[in-house]
Amino acid sequence: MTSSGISPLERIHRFIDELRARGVPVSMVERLDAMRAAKIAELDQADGLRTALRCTLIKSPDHLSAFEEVYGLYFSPASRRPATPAGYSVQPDAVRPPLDLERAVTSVLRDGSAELARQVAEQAVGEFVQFEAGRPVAGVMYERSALAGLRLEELAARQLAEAAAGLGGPGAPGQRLRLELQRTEVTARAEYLRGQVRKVIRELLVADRGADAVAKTLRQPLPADRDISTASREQMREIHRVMIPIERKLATTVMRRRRHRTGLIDVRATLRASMATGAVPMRIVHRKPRPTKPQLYVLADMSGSVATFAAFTVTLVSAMSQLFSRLRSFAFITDAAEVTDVFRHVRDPEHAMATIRDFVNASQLGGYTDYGRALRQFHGAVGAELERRSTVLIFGDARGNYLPAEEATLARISRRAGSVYWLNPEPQAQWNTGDSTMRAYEGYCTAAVTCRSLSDLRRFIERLD
Amino acid sequence: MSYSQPGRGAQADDVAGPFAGTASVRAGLAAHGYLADDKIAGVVSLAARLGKPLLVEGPAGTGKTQLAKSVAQLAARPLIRLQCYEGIDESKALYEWDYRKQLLWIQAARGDETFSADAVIEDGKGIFDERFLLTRPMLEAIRSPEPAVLLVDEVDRVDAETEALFLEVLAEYQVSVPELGRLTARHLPLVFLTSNGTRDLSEALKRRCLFLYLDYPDPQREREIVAQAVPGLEQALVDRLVALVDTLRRLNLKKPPSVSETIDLARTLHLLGATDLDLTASSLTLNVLLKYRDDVQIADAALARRPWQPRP
Repeated sequence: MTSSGISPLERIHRFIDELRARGVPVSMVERLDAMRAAKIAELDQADGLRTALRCTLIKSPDHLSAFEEVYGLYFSPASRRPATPAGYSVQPDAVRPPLDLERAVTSVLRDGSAELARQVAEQAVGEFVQFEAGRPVAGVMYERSALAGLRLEELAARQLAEAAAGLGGPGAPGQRLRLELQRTEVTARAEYLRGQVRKVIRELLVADRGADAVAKTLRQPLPADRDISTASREQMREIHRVMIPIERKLATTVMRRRRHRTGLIDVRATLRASMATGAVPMRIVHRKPRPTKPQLYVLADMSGSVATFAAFTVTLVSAMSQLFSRLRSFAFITDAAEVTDVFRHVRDPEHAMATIRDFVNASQLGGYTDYGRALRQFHGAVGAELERRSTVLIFGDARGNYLPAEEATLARISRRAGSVYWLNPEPQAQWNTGDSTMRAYEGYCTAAVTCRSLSDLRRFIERLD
Repeated sequence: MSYSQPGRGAQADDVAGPFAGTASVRAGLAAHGYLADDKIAGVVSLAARLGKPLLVEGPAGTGKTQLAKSVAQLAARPLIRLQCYEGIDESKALYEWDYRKQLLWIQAARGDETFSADAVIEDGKGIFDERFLLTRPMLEAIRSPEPAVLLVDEVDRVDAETEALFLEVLAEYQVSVPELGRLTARHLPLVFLTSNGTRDLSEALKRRCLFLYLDYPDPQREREIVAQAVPGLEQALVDRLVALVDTLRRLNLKKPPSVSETIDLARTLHLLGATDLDLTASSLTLNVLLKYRDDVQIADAALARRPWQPRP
């Protein structure tokens, strides 16, 4: 059934259910708060209900984008309008003459008029999209054809070229900077227009199939919970957006925990403090402990199947290098090579992927994965400096192309190092199937865990020490 | 799970007045020099009307603390501020017994015929008296004879375990002192908590608060803020300045420029009598906005559309 005929209260409940289905934690208390807030929300304000629901249900910036998307499905004006049975044309305002789209798009890119952007989006969807009723789609194809029809990229590029010409030649003072600022503006406006097109399409989908069904089609886990190995380019960008705050939070947590181990009693300071209480030591003062930083050695499989994941992890670990007294990373396919310096300045995953490709091509690491050989080379490079405070992290699926596992080498590494962790991007059920040799290696690891998403990785690093 | 109206015994004071709706909050804050958008004003109004604490999170320099200060001005209430730091405990946040005065009182009372040490130990009469209670910000906000605004600043700096100390105040507007019992609020304070998001706050804390994410303002609002802070700066220059800051925030920087840095730069340009923004003419611009050398280099390269090279 469509959700057009349900009560407002029921709609809010379904909305919350959908948020929870996506992994946003909403407790019972928060649900009640949302209801109370909705009751006193200023519904005459443009975003009165949105504000009321957002501030009661969403308690972390990481969940905001999920909120906005789901809110758009359940509470956009169209989702309350019954679907027009014949032809899904979007013409709520029939008196308006059609726009000259090219001129209108140019105007939106120049002035950023929100109203005009909405009109352009509606008309573009009406003109360029072959809407098929009842099909359970997410509307990605519709969006693509609407945008292609609008020639958005082309018009944006033209706009910038014109702006450049208007600013005088390349030598004119301040020209370079102004052009760059214009680029930001035009890109932001193009992005806004794209968002409007998506919004119009979503409204159509909701009118057609109901909010619940569309929400289910569009549903995907929160960026931090998403499987990294299979993430698309756009998903990777979203994951990266939540990665920077998580990096910072991780660093804070780990550093604090280390500082919180209590040190020895500081006799001098304790006596000093007891002066206020007539030499009775009421308050014991402890010496500040010197945090010991572990040494981290990373060995990551960079072959095709797990490269995304490895690149991501090495980027994350490198960004947190201040947590470790020593950090050395190695990449391998057939041969292993040190990549510590390569990753020092890499900050986003796309850049990391490109770096890896270049590195693999340049250093001829070989074509197929050889865990035994890589472990031997790794041991040769760092074996001598491993000690009790060293932690070794191995990233990989342990799929060694039916080459024999060389657990003896891992055993040698494990004897010297304080701990050895194996992070496998595959779910545990797939270990030891086919050419996976996890069984042989597992026994020599302090722990072997599945690690597929940013959240998994975070939980792991938080426990590390 | 208890779900009761907070602050039994205390009446919701004049919250309706200036906090009746988005528009009135927005106008009121503007009158006190804080340019809020509808989102901010709407949430502040809801928090006041629901009688719930408001947790404000966002990057540094987006006006989180200022929001609480301006709300206090708007409500004409005293602002009681608790600055959090690592290792803060209940004796700094809630209350502490003033043992110096207690010792003094015992010594003075010894001379008295009727004084009996046994009796004091037995029921604590005399020493555990509100006279000897040092109120710290949270208790102060609750016991304040007039309605107050409590600001718990940078709550993410306290340890996760210490957060639990705040829960009773946030949910019930009361403080339990074992020797005295429950001290409840005379007036419901308006409570603001700010966080820079350096760690995740506990679910328990977040559940008790409304949440407002205060991001960098959009260009339109930032232009207004700059125009208000530095009147007399040419409009065209303000536009360009805000566009530059917007561009920089989209780069992958360690510390993106905050609103206060935008204003700093606006002041600098005003003092220098600048009429246009030109990076080639002065490296000053980026150095006012950015605080790390790496960031300046990344920004410089991005603005010149050169691929960024790490410095050797």
